[in-house]
Amino acid sequence: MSEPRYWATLPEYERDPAVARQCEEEFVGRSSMHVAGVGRGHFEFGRREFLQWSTAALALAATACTRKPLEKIVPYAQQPEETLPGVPNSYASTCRECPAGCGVIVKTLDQRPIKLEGNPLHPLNQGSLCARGQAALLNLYDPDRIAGALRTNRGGLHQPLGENEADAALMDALHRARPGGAVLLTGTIHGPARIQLVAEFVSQFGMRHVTSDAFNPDALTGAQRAAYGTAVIPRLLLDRVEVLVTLGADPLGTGYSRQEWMAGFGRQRKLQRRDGNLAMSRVVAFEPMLSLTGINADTRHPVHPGSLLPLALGLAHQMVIIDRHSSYATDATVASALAGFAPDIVEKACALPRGTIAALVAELWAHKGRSLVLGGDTAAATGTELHLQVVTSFLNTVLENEGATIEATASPSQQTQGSNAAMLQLCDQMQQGQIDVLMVYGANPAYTLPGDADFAGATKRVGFVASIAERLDETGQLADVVLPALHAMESWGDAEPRRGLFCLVQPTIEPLFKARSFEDTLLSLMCRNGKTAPGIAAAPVAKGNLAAAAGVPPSKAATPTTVAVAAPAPATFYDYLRQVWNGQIYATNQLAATWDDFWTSALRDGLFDASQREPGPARAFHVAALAEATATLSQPEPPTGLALVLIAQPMTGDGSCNNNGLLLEAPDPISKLAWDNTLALVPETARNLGLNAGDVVEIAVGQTRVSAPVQLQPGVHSQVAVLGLGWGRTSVGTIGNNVGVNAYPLSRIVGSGIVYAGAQVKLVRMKAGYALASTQGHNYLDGRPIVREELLAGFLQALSRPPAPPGPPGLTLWNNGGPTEHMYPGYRWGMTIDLNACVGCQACVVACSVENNVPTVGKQEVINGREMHWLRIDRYYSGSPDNPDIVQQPMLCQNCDLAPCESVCPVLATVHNAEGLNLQVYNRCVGTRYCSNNCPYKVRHFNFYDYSGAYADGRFSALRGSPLELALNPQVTVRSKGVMEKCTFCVQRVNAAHLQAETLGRPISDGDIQTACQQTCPTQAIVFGNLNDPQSEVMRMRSGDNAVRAYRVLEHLNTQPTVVYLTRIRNRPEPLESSASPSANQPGYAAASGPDPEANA
Amino acid sequence: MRIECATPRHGLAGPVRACLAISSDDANAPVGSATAWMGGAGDFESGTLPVAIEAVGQPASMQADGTGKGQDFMLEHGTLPAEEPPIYDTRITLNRVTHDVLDPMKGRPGGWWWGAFLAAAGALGIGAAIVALQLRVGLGILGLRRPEMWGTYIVNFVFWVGIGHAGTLISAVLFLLRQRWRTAINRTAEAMTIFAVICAGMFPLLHLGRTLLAYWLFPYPNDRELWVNFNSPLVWDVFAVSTYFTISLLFWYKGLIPDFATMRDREHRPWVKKIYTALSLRWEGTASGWVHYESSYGLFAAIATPLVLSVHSVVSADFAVALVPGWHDTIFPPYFVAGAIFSGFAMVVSLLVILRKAYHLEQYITLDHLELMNKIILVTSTIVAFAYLDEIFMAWYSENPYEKHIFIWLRFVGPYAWAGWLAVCCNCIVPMVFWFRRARRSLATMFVISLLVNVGMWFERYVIVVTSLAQDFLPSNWGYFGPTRFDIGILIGSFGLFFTFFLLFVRFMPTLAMAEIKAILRHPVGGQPSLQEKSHA
Repeated sequence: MSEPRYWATLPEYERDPAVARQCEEEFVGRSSMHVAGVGRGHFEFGRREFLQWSTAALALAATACTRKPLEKIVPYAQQPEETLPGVPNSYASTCRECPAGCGVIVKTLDQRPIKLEGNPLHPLNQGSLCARGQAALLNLYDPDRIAGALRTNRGGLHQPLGENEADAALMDALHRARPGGAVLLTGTIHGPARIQLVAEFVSQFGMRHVTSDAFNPDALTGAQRAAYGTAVIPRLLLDRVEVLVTLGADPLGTGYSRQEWMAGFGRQRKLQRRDGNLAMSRVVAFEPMLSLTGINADTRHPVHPGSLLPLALGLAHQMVIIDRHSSYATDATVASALAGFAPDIVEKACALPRGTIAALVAELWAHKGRSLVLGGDTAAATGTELHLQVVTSFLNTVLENEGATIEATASPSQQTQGSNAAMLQLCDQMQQGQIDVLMVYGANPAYTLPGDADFAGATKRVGFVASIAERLDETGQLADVVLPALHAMESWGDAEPRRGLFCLVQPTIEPLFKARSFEDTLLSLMCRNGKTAPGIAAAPVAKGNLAAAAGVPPSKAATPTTVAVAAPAPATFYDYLRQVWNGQIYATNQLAATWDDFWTSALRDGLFDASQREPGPARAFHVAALAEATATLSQPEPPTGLALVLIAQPMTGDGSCNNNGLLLEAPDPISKLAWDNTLALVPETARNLGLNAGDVVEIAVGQTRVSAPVQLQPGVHSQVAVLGLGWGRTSVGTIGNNVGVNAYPLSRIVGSGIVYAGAQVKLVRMKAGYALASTQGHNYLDGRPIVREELLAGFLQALSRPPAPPGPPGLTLWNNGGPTEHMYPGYRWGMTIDLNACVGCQACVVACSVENNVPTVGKQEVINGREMHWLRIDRYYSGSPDNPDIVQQPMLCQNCDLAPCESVCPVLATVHNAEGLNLQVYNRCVGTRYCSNNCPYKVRHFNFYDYSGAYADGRFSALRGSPLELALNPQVTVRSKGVMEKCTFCVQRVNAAHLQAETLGRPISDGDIQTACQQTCPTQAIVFGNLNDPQSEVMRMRSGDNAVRAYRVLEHLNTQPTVVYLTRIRNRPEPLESSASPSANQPGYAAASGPDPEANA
Repeated sequence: MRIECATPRHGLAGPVRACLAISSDDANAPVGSATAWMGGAGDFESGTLPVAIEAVGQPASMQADGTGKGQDFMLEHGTLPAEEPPIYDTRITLNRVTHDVLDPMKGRPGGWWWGAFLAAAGALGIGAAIVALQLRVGLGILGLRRPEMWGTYIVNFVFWVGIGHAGTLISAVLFLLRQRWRTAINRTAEAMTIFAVICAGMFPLLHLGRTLLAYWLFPYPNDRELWVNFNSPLVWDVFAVSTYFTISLLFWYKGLIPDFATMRDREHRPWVKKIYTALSLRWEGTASGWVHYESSYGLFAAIATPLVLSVHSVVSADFAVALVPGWHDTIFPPYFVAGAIFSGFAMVVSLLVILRKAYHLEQYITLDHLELMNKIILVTSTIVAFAYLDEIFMAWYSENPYEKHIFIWLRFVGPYAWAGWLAVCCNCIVPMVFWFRRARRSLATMFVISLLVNVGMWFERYVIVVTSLAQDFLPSNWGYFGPTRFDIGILIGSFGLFFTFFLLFVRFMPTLAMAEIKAILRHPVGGQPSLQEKSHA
């Protein structure tokens, strides 16, 4: 049977030869080599072509495009101890940005510090940290630090030098120096091991040790010596002060222990029950400029710097002579000393209202033992500041504050120890060619000394100048050899900010640059010297007798009481430190714990506190000092002319940290200007002088001339021009060089002191139109109830009245009460901010920036209105520009329940979560910026450029590839160009707390989550917590006595913010001045619900 | 019924058959006209005349294509009712329309065109370069700052959306309202709409921080289950503007089809002919084609009409929905629509005054037409003025300090007073000149006023967008918007884009709706004059 023949087409059936031919072919429809392309009508593709094309495509794909660079995660071959990837470790240490000696907790992630926080165990700062401490992280990672020793020819030529060569050069110079011709100049150093090391070093090389900071307490110590017989730095107990009177002093802004004082100040500013009555402290400030303390004062009087001393004497006169308070009323010396300063004469000379002094004295006397009169600081440094300090000491003694709110016998402060007199004497000796070797560490006299001192000229007559510093500063520029120093976070050290309070500095990262700590440098030099091994007089050494300790040979020091006896000579400062601590602290304090336990616990806590908290006994006042103070004084006269007042500013301080964008961009709390210091004049005076804001004037004091821009600053005394110190560095780094103007040259040497205030000044207008970077658009509230303020008396009245009934609840978009309503079943986060406690120090602003990787944008962008601070402090004036009242308000995302930003975002990039947080999803944000427009608080910030430097487009690429990148917090997204960002109540901390609570199997308890701003706030004005828990601090703060004070900003808009502010209470007998702004007559827009404090006032 | 032969087309080879006009033969007055095409289409000017029949007093009922019955909708497009005075010169013939409109496109463009085109393209280039820089570097090059997160881009967006209103209003609303004079201006106005909406549509995308992710504004399905926020007016904008653009474009193109067919028929160059053939969608001018054309045109008009109101209402919601004082205002939708018509008509007047001169279209775009436009400008100007007064009154009457600050102090006393008064002068005071007939009919006057109106309207948007944001609730936030040179460049670039498109349009597309004009030409009794007659005239 034949097989059936299958056919597919008719031609095939008909055995068409073409079909037969086709059957032969492997690929139907094409001949062997077919060129694809034009003219064939259809596109054909051969196997080889396919291979050719795909090869070409592959080659093109491989060459034409580049991938993003791969960053590989390398797992640990050996897991470092105590380290879990992604889990931060915290170490206690001590901040060394200034000599205040605050305790810090260094948070490290993967072995790099990412955040500094205050150490809550530390009795000074009590968990808070100032703006400079917060910004210290950037100083650690500063790429402008020097990486190794340098040799210079004092003319700007710098050559790298080996460590050995540098040591040898220095050693050589030290050996050749005449006896007494070598000087070690340092800033304030405290801490037993460091003190002892310096003492040992100095004695070994026959050197002299001179201590000098930018601002030295000569007047204070001199007055203490004159008045009480001992030149100590007193400790101020501001937490016990109910009436604070400042005469030019700025304890909150620039005081030597301002964190401690702010904490105490804040405690007293909060409304509290005192003997059953609600009370708060009263602050009265007399000052020529506006200081941070002054803007927080209940009553403030602008006075000429020359009037401060007569004013203090007037207070004393009123108190002792007229009111006959205290036993000094019968003292003839006192009577004769104060005779010429009757209050009416003083008031007239100081242009104060009549009766001011009598009223103030009555208040002070009513709070004797609980008050404080503070004079001093640079604003009072007219040459009579020592007298002023004597008189304020007298006042405090009369008021029985000595031994109550002032403490100088039990555990006095050691936080500032420098001396202008010693420094100027050294300068003289240098000029006279008596100094052969000058070693400088922790001081920058080339920058901070007055122009008269001619430090640069003096160094030319010094044989050998060595600078030991983290960076090549102005003094380093004049040196022969510059030796690198380490940042505090890279080195071991200790501190003793007040007697008996021992603090440790421990490294938290390997040195970033090839450098050696100052202490190790000293040790190394001593080793090289070889006379005695730097060892250790570990015997119990009487404190304060360090020079003797240094001379004690090691063998004699060996006593059975010390464990460290057998220890070999320390090769590093770590060993040295341990030995000193062992010998001086462990051994003398008779502790039950073993040395190892003691060391471990001290290291864990960061401190060992053997200081006395209670003040020691009051000291007797030597009335002769008072007589001496007034001996040369004549009757007070009204001041004439325009006086220059140079002040330190809270953000930059002495200027030593000026290569820090965080500090330069954080606006001055008073002027709200960033990136500049300015000559501040009260508007009326500026008008009389024909000056406008932004004019550049030449400031001439004697022969010294400095040009600075003019700023109109309400509240400055009409005969005073104020200029900030600590700016205009020329050799600090790429960020800080030539930012602002250097005002130090305008200070003058008078006698053995430096005069900062009171010099007659001539202003010459140079040009106009200098752009100032202000972060605040308008300085008056124009009657808007944004920051509520009330007098204490009015508030107390309101308390007795029943609270106004709440208005009807506002409607919501979210189906009121229905299934889509925001319900918050578990936690509900919120914040309460006490406007009474907020002093406006800006620490929170910087803390927030560090925690949340908020970029620094630079001066031009601040001028353009694009600063990124998620949290800012708004400052408003009311009343006359001559002496305005000032209120401040931290303004951050209010995390509204009915957030206007959420409803308008087209892509749902900002959403509400179930715990009441208003989240920003950076990945989803496309940058319509509608949310910012619709935000009534304007707390959202937009990345107009690539501020984070992620793409390195040249404008903001400083971060990329530099060590500064390491300062970024890896737990917070770095935002890119075109994305909106804002405060989310540190949501990363909230999430971490959730994780931790889940791990521990317990709910999050109150205080587990501290936002960065809250954590660092010295006055605890900011409290964050769970609103669903009535026992939480955040709820307790806004209930009870404070319920009447609680308000939400722009409540009438029904945004329902979760941030509640407590009305600022002004503790002042006279009524508030009405706002002097143009639209002051506008009535406030009454809130729909809640108490209206204006109605009560 | 009299049937007469219309003028056959000249200049093309091919059999001339018949072109018929129908008029009533009893009253000796034309009831309407219709052209029946006999024989193969394409031999005639297939874009010439729609089948448009209208009876006096009652809807025409005539079998246009031999099958349809009672095509009422035809009434709406075309012919002029007998009782109305003629809109165009009665001596204008169908053929002449074609020549007048299309002849200026022949040959090389003149020097004025090149000059204008290069200027416009240069301006566009400036804008494009700035946009490129901005995409690379960031929005920081503009004057935007913290309180004023919206600036030039949004001002331009609202401005151009407003300009884009006139076209559709003229084509759709005036069509439905039987305003047959619109045929003179509707093509230009529609083109202007398209280009203005293109300009406008770009701005919200370019003003994004991350422009390349603009597609996230569209609700498209994705595996991450991301969705858009329908509460946000910006999402409404996406739909409003894209719908408006789509409808406007289709509407415009719809009207162009018969004219493209005419151009195709007149074209010799094969590749150009191909283009016009494609563009004309092989329009043959058959009676059934006209029927469908007519019905769909009416439909488009009906769809487009609410869009005229919706799009700018939605744009105004961007502001009115927000709680910013100066934005949060219920009067915004009608106020914005009126302002849009106001500025759109002003822009049409500006363009037509130039166009009719350049293209010698005075017979079509007559002073009567322009006067009618100016009347609309006058009316909308008073509406806008009323809205201004209303805002100020409400701010004062409400005693709301935030509103008062913005509406009264900031805009008319404070730092932005210059912008506020500029807007008031240009928008409320200057157009009052149009109360005078002489001014309404003076080309120079109307040109200047129309330009001023658009300057004023730009600044009105500037005042709304910028000043409201400048000084809102918290005084600490206040700032002053300073446009940078890039902001100005963006504005210049947007005009460059608009005029580049517009100049290409006048070069390559019929600037008048030939088919529609032809439909309402009225000829003297006894038939229209022949071409010869006309040429002697």
